[in-house]
Parts: sequence; C-alpha cells; structure tokens
Amino acid sequence: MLSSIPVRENQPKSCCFIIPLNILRNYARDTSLSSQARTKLQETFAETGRLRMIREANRIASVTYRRSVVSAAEEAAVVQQELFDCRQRQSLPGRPVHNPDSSPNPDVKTVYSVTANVAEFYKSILNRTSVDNQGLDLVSSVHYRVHFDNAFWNGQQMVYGDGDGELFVEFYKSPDVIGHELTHGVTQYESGLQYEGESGALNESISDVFGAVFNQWLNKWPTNDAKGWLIGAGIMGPQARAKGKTCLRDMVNPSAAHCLSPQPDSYKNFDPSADVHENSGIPNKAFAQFAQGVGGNAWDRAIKVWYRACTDRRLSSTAMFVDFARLTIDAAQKEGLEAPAQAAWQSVALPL
Amino acid sequence: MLKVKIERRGGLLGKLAVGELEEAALTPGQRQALDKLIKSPPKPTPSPGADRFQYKIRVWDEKGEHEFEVPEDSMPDELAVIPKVRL
Repeated sequence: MLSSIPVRENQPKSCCFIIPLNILRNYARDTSLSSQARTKLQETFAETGRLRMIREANRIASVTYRRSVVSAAEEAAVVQQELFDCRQRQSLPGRPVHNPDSSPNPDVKTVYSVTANVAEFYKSILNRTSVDNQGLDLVSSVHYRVHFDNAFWNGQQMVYGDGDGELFVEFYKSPDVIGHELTHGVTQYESGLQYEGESGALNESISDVFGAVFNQWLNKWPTNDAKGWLIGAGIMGPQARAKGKTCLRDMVNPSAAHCLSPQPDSYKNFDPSADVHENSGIPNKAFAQFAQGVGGNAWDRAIKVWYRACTDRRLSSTAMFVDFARLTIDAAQKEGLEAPAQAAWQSVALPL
Repeated sequence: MLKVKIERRGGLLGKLAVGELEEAALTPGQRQALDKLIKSPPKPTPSPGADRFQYKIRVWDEKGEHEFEVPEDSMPDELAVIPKVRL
C-alpha cells in the first residue's frame, strides 16, 4: 500500500559502508576465491549498492526546498538519472550502467532517453522537477528477473521486465508505460492515494492518464487520434496480437475487445472486489472524454486541469472518485472548462 | 501425489493469471522452490510500491492442503513462470 507521505520518511536517513563498492565488485570477480564466497560478495555488492541509492535518495529528499532561493541555474537543471542492469536477476537495483546516454545497448538507451523525455514533459508542461518536484534522481533497472511480465514502481525506482516474448515483449517499449511508472512516484509524493478500492483505482488511472498524455506529447498526437489513448500498445507480444489484443487498456473505450484487460466504463459497473487496474477504466474514460471535449492537444489544457487536481492538498490518500471528480471540476472552472469536465464525469455515470 | 495451483493478481496488467501442475510436471528446481516455501512461507504483506504482483499458492500433498500468499519480492523465478494469462 502506498503511504500518504514519501516512503523514504520511514527508512534510515543515513548509513555507512566499511568496504568500498569497487573492492566488493573486484573480489566478487576474483576466480581464485570459491564460487560460494564470490556469490556472497556479489550479493553484498548488490545490497550495498541498493542501500547507497536509498541513502542518496533520502539525502536529496531531506533537503529543505525553498522555491524563493532556488537559483535560475538550479531551476534549469536537468533531472539526473541512474540506470542499472539486473541481468535477469532479482536483486535491485542491479549492476550500474555508466554513461547510459551514450550506451551502445539499445535497451539501455531507450529507457534512458524516454525517461529523460518524461522528466522533460513534466518540467515543460507542468513545471514539475522530477517525481518529488525537488529534482530527485530518477532510478531505473532493466532486464529484471527471467521472462518477467511486468513493470513496476517499488517506492524508490522504476523496474522493467523483458516479458516472456509471447504475450509481452520488453516493458520499456511503450513510452506510456515508462510515463505510467514514473507517475506512480509523483502520486506517492503528492496525495499518496492508497492502493485499494476507489483511491487505488484513482492512483492507477492517474498513472494511465499522465502516461498516455506523455505519449501523445512525445508523438504529437492530438486528442482525436485513437493511438494516443491505448495503454501498453508497444509491449504486446505476438501471441496477444494474434488474438487481436492490441493494448492492455483503451482509455476511450475501456471495455473494448481489443484490450487484454477490458475494464468497466461506467460507475454503475464499479466492482469493489476488483483489481485497482480494472476500476481505473472509469476515471480513465472520464479524462479521455474531458480531453476530447476540450479538443486540440491534451497536453495544452486538459492535462493541466487533472494535474492541478492531483496536486491539490485537498486530495486525501483515501479519496473516492467523487472527491477527485469535484477537484477536477473545480480546477476546470478556473480555466473556463467546467462544462466539458461536468460532461466527462456524467459520461461515466458518476453521481456528483 | 502432489499438485500445485498458483494464481497471480495485480501487476501493470491487473488481470488474473492461473497455472496448475501435477508433481510429475514440476522441474527439480520448481519442486525445490516449492518445498522451501511450504517449509517456510513468507509474510503475505504485498511488495511495496505500485503494479506489483501478488501470488496465491495452493498445494495438495500427502499431508493435506496448504494455502499461502506470496508477495512478488518473495516469489522464486521457478514458480513465477507457472501462472499464465488466459486470452
């Protein structure tokens, strides 16, 4: 469950390491040592790396942010990234990838460049600096576990599996998926919507909304382009495509047969026992309707209304659909967009 | 004769995946991983963050039926591949 405050608050603020990382790594590769000893050293290396990352994240998160004293140079600073390769193992974050921006490995380069694009989207469209709005380094790990059919945010970083090659291909191959995972970090630092029931479905919907609009912005797709509302279109494997499944979810038409995981598209069909990814179809459709009602590009006006609601201090971690809907209508009103916002929530039969 | 059924929920997809195997179909690695989990089931607390998998394992053996929840971080690779999404 996501907490209402950043997860890092509950973790050690500082820790020290007696053996430098490079020494651990060198010994782990020393073939004169037994394989058991090398395995232990490798595990220690991996865990130490993880703890260092947490320590650094805590350090940055603990810096008091005072907008008034932030210099122009700091404002303009590019969000830094750290990229790791798990090499099909389970330990996170994995082996560090140095200079990922110039890596000859196309997987690394894709994750690095698309993550940079997401950070740029948040900065240029929403004036947000990284997930915490304080410039926190973005950490990603690729090649997690074996044939792993998932991507996730673990409270600290993004993690991408390679897929099984049949149902799914590599999970970083859909830009909206990278935007989706990073947005879970944003939600964690803002409302901390709890990961169950209506608040959990809102948490998931917010990740789909910002992931989809990021993808539209990246590809210059206007709101009437159906491609821009598909979630996970780039990660569908040959087996799924052969069965006519072209995406995980379709925000315009959540119950469509071409979705691998069809969702309810009306509050009348809300299922309290369902997974948070199922009920998220309801607010997903509301946003798609709103953006199309506003017209043009979703990143010009519609997403700014949703962002204002997501970062509104009145949005609690246990918010219901109606609470969030009222905040979006409130935000839309300030932009002269109240009518399409009202119509959007009416389209999913949400009583306001 | 042992039988295992594994259900997977959650993940970015959020769709139920199910897999069932008889003892003879389990690889030695899967059998070893399963025995280890039966002997010492992990805490069922879901893994932190969002889009994480949560597994439910049911085992039928000579001692009866065992059922336990396994969060993604505690699920061995050998067993994680068993549940499949039905298209």
